[in-house]
Amino acid sequence: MRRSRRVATLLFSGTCLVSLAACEEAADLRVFADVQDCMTQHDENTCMQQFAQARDQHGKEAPRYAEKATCEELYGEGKCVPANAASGGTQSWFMPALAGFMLARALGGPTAQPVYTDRSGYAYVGGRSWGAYQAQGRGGALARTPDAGTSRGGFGQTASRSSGSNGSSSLSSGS
Amino acid sequence: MRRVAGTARPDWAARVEALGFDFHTIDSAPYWDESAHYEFSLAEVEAVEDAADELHKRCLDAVEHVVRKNLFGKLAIGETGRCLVRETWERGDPTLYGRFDFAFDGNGPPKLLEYNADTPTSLFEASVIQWQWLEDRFPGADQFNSLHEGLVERWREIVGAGSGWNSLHFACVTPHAEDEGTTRYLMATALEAGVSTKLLGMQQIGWNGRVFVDHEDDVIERLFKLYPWEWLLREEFGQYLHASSLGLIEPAWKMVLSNKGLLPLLWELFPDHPNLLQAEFEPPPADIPHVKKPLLGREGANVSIVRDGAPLASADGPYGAEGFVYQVYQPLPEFAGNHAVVGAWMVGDKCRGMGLREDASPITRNTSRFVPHLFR
Repeated sequence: MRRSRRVATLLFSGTCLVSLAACEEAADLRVFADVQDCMTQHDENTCMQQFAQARDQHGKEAPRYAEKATCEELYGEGKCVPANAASGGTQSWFMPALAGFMLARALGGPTAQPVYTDRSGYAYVGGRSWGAYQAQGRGGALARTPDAGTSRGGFGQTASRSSGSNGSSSLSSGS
Repeated sequence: MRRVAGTARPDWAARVEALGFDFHTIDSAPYWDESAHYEFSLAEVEAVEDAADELHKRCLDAVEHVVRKNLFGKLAIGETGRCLVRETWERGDPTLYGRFDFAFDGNGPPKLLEYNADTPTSLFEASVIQWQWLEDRFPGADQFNSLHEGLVERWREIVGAGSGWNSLHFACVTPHAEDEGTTRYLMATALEAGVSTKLLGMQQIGWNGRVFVDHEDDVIERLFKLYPWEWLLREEFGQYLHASSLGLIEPAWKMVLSNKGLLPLLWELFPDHPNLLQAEFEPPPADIPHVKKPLLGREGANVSIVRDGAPLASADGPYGAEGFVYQVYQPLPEFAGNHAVVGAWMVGDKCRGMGLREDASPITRNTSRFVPHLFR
């Protein structure tokens, strides 16, 4: 009745963009959490410089959302931060926090890139579109652009209905 | 069967979090509780296993009965639901898993309280977290738990049946730590079996007029949903489920089993079965202690225990519009003031493990603590 020693985990680690098994051999493809993490593989100068580039890109290109809830739905609770009001407008925005960065040479591009992890642990590089959310206009402002003719939100309504006074925001689907 | 009080591992939170278990505490109260555990004998474990295997077969008989005799009205299953149940039942669409809840104190046969056949949770804790606890605390003891291998094997069988199940979307309500944890764990077992998987929120599912699509406009052909069938059917996209050729796990025929109307149907088909409690669609005489359960309810909500004509305990909630069933009251065994319910996990058609929940209240709720077990 006993089972094997192997215990599965929920940590589908977002720290490697290639297959998990190949992670060790592909140090260049690694996502580094911070400068210190980077310094386990590369020298300090490289890491400082590359991190600064990624942070710059993050400030300029990070996906932005008008609603904090929309941002958190994609990236996870507590994973979204207010974005600086870049153009002096009154609209406030939210963007995912920087989860790490990738070196420019790993990406074959001119600059290092910020990395974000979604709420499922999948990693995304730069301000690349995710799902039906695509960059629109300057300043990285995002708007939802579903395919014409596709409607969404037709499932999930019962669960999102408030369950009343116990403080929980959605009805449990489990049993 | 006995409850053994002990002490939790000093670093228990870090240990379980290292496995990705991030819902061990609910509203600042413990949900995972290893300050005690339940100890069984082999014979007791086998009684649970045998009861579950037997009842699952009787439940399949009940589905057949409902389909043949067209008893959907008793279960408040509407037109689309009927079509889907018939179609998936006749086609033999595969089931992945389910959980029986038993009243069992180690003596006599386990008695069926309900079958969570559609959207059972507490799976990850039963499969992985209590196993880690066993290895840390009682490496010499045993546990009724081959859930993980069972799930991986079951996915292989489902894929092997060769009807497109080798690629699967997984959906649940987001954000919801417990549902997401359960869904991601199932996804991990599918990945291990070689299924390619993609996760999305129920709210992100799209309909383009012909097929369901995901958040990236990829077609969803096969879907695992941790979302009740009765909710799917009454929501806006429910009307498209029949026209689309979407294959779902759990399949539509499971809605016959997750419905509390199953209980009186089973009693009618198999009266005096040792693992069944008498259950009816009509309330019994006032002097018979009974439990009133909504046809479609979850997590103990809207359940009330009636004794001497007055409610002994009741839990509020949003359910009950479709009607109720009445089951003879079988008190849960009480250990040091805790009411324990035994969950028996089915994977495919085989019982593969056990998980216990306990609560100060006689009605088990979604906040009832998960307490690990072992047997010697």
